[in-house]
Amino acid sequence: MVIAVAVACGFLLVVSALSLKSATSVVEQARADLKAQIGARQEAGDLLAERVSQLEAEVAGARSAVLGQSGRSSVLTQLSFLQVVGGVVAVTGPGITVILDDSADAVSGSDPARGSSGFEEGRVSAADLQIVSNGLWAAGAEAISINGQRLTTRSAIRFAGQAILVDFRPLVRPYVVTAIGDPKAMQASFGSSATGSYLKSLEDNYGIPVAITAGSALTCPAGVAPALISATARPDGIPSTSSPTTRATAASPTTQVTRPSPTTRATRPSPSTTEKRP
Amino acid sequence: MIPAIGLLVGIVLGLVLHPSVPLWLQPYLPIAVIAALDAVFGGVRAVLDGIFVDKVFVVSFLSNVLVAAFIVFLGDQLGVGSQLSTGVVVVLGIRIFSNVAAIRRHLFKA
Repeated sequence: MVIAVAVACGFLLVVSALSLKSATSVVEQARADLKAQIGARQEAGDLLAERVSQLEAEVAGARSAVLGQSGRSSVLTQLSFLQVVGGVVAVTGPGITVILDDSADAVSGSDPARGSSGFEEGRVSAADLQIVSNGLWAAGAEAISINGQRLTTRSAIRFAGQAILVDFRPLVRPYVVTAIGDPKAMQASFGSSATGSYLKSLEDNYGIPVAITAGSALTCPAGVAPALISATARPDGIPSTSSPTTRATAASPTTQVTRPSPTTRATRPSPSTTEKRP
Repeated sequence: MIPAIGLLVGIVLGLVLHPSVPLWLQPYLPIAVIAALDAVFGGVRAVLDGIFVDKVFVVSFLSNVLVAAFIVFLGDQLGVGSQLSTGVVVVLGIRIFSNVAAIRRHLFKA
């Protein structure tokens, strides 16, 4: 009887131990499987993104070929202009950069007593970046990017906890706002505008360092083209009364000049930007 | 001596046969390990104390296993299986430690 119990003890011990061990290895197996799946999906996603850019280039080539053949190069020039102001293509040119950073106090003495979600005065907020970018548009910027994120017609600059998101990508300090345009005119009108005095007050009152420099060859990368949700064909010859993008008018006064109507016009819901204009 | 051989036989059997435990028995595995260890150390201690009785050993092992399994089963039904099995592991673990301490005192006089 004792032997039977002893045998049972040993058996129980080993079987349980082995089963428990294999149970943990099952978890590791699942983790490895998930890792492999993530890698595979990412690879597939990269391939698809490559294919998308390939096809976009193809579409652009075909479009310019067709428009060039049918003698409607005016549409083509308008298209390329809209692509620039809409932020769909990369832009290089002279311009100014506005660099904001959190104040030294806020960086070194992140006060845990105030909680991690509380607003800290010395930190650059999304509203600051909104005001800066709107001020730059008003000062005549033709293209703006923040930390390499191009502002398109539907970009949003917003807060998520402590992080500032531009186009749903989180930014890290310092915040470099690059604006392409006439550097001299922009610097002059930007500095004397309400935005300029706002930045001055940020610097004076909260210790947020602001640096504005002019550059001769700045680059704004291409932004994500907004998906065309619906389009209606317009009969030719009707002049466009509404400008295609709201910001195009802010970006360049030349868009006020009546241009030939675009063949297709996107009818979308109102842009979901949270930007406020100062 | 013979129980020790029996223990070894059981270990070897488990290693060789390597039976797969059905899923519904999985929650009882930690309890099984601890109960088996407790039985082994309790038996050794009783032998060293000179109070080893076959019947007591067998009955206490079986009752311990049954009660532990019942507690875990109850916990599973109530949705607190992991907490109750932790409780059983703690109780049996304390018993194991006290048994081992008694064995140690017998063997090393310390």
